[in-house]
Amino acid sequence: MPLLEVENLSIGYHTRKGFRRAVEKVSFSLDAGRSLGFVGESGCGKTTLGMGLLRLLPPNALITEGRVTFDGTDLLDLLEDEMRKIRWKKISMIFQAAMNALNPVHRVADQIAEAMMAHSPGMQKPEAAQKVEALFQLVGIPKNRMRDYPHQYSGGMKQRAIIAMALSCRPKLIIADEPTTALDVIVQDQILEETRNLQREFGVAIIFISHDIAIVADVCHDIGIMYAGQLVEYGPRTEVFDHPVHPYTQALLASYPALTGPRARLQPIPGEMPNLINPPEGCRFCDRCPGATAACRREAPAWTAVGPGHHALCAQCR
Amino acid sequence: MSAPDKRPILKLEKVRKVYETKGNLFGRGRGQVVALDHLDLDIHHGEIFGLVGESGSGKTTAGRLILRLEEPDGGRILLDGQDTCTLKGKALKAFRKRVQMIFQDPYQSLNPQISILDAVSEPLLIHTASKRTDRLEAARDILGRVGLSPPEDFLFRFPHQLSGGQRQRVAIARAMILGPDVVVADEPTSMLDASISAQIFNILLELREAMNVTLLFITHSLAAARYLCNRIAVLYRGHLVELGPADEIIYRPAHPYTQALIDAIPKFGDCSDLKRYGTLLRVDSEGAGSVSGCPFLPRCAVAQRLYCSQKNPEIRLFAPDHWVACYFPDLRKGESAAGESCYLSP
Amino acid sequence: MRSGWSDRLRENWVIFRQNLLGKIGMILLVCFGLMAITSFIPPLIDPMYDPMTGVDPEIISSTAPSARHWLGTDFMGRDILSQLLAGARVAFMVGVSAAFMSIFLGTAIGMVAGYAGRFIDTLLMRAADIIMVMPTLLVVLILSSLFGQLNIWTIVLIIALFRWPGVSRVIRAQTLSLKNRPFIEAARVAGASHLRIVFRHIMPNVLPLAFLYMTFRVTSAIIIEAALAFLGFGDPGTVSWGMMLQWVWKTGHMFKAPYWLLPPGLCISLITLSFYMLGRAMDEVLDPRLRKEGQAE
Repeated sequence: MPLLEVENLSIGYHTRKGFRRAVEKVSFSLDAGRSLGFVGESGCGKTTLGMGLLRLLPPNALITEGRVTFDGTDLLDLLEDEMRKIRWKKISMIFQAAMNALNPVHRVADQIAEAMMAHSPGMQKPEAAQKVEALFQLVGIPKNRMRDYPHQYSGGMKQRAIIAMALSCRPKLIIADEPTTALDVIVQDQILEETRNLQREFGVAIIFISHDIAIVADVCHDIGIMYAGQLVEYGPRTEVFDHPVHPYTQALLASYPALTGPRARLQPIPGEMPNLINPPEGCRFCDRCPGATAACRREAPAWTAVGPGHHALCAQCR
Repeated sequence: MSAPDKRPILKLEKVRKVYETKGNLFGRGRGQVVALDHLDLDIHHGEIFGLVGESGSGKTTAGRLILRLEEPDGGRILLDGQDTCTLKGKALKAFRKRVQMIFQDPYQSLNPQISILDAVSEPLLIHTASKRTDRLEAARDILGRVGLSPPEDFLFRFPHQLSGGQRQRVAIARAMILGPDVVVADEPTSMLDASISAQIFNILLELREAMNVTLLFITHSLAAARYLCNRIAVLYRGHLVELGPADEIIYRPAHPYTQALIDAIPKFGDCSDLKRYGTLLRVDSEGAGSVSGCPFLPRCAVAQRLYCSQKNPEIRLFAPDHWVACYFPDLRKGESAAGESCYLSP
Repeated sequence: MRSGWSDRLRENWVIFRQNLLGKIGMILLVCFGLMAITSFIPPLIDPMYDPMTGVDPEIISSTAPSARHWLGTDFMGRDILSQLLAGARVAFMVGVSAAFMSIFLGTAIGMVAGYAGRFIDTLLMRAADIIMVMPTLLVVLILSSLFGQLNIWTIVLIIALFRWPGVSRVIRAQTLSLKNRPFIEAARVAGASHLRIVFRHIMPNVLPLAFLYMTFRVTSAIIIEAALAFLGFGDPGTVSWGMMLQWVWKTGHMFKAPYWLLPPGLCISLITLSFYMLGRAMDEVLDPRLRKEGQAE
């Protein structure tokens, strides 16, 4: 049985201009110990999706439909109290720019120990300190830096501390939203490598949200491409990158400059994302799709299988 | 792309910039940060020159010094042979016509209270005695060239009504409207999505062709630099470590830092024509570099302490047009047989 | 020609409208505005309603509200309602002019200090500090005891001259934060002169804040004028609410004539409150972070 199963999840925001349908009927499943990446550009709904799974949405957001089953429990049914117990102990999250969330007036190790003690009633300070030490070693922070304050840490070290915090209660699932965006390439590479190692060692499942396809390709087993609130393509990493089916995936891949290979002219995607307050009835990408037909505009495309474990939201993809 | 000629339009000679860090109340933490250390660069007329580096490399500082947003603490910057650092008054204003900048953050580089028309035509207002109708025409023209069509739709709007990509196009229009000789683009796409970045790259390429402007492209992305640039310079902690044609740098990097950068870039798809160099040591990487000697020494897997700690290696010619600042360049060559494993273990 | 101004004004109006404080403040201010406008009417109906010189031939002392005098009369037989209306006019005049002048000074000085930095900044801000700690009221008292009764416009000027430091600090802080923003650097790179940068780029961005502070300044100006009048240092030729309170007190009617005592006191409190509420609502409009959820997008 998969660790996390999401069925037809739809989330929207009440805004002054109307109800914005930020996430529309997203379905996927994640097995224990596997990693899944969500890739998309700004406004595609990936962050909303991540926050929605943990029910950490702002007050003007509304989950309009769907089911989120984690370890057999329907998360959307739970009361806030029960949800709080699950957060951090079973599912933890690394937010965007999380390294700025460290309290500058407390030592880093103390903050992590505090978080641990808050979630494990009965744990005493010495025990927590020991566990923090073990965690730091795990994520690669030298022992002699444990007593430092956040401002003494570099960006990469802060991010490692955040990862240590996320791992501190040995969750079964970590949702990481752009965890390496603010970091330099070399540090990012190291963090991603450590993430892969940690995942293997602890068997923790990871949902990795990013706008950078290459990062996701490096870390995740499966990839989901999001556009305008919908999951438009989903499958194993190699499948999606080597044989992209959805026109948006193809266009997205073609808009990244390649480090090697022939210097092909980049093909930017013409047009703009549709307005999510009044989204079109048919395919949301058809205004920008080179292969759109009249049928694409009329009817919503179906979730079609195009390969082993590989699906796409397109009527033309066969 | 038209072949750029080899005249240097912009020359940096031993440029040095130091920042003082103020200590806290007790005087701890006071010190100096050397942002640029005796940087020498020649930028040729009409080329797209890439300045690549991570944070702390000094690339943004170099751009700001070229623009006279800050003053160097040593060295000279020459535009067409003329020292730019001593310019004042009218001469400085004339200089401003020739060198322009595209800033990194499209959400902050346009005054929110000023319409697009006013923002784009402001350089004309400042430098030329033009009529209002002429300025309107020029603004229309340049907006069309950056792909904001029809221009009427955009002229009278305000920045908050435009998307990030559109704002960056306005910034490009503003930089180009006077037909400058050199444009410094400081990470123009780092705050934009990939598909929008692609649009911006293509606009820069087109404008460079059409207006024959020299472009200094500052970025942390080697892939973007490779796509756009004729030549690439790699900076590390204020030092120039490697310089050469774009493909040379990518396919035959000689400096261990450049090799480490290439290793670290997440790759997807076919990587068979890339090698794995393994020139980076797994240390607490963000400590300060060594005081004398090569700045990359603490992290370098190829270094030999005896030589590398003595003196900072000077930049030397390594291959035609390819310069490296290293005592042991290109020691790690990976195997590159197509299809086979492209990783080499140290 | 589509203009961004009308769009933003409309946007801001919607947010403003949704703010309860703002609504109440606006309503109150409109009432006071009406009072000020209609203050010209009573003397036209009958000279006995003139606030300063009107004398009812039949009444020579303070009387309670009646059909002829809706709020009653003061100790000289003058109509209290017309005095109240005239007082509204004075409050607006004093409040708005003093506020406007002090904002004008404060903004100019704040921008110059913030932009120029270093020596000029230190000089101007030290001057601001010195003036800020001087008690305005005391200074006016001293001046008026030296030079005799002061004209209302002199009072306005003095209030303005002593109240600009507060504004200038805020504007200076705003200027400092704007000074290093990329769009200012972009203007420098484009070759803009310092003058151009300050007036074309910085000023439009600090003006909203300046207007916000104007509402706060109005309240303090009104209160200072009222206090001065109450203490007997106001302009004897002007009828203001503070002056009315002075007359109540001086003639010993404080506890004998509530219909005379309460209206001006209430008006002073309410008008200050309404300007304050207006200011708070404007604050929400200006600072997107203060907006309630569901409003921002």
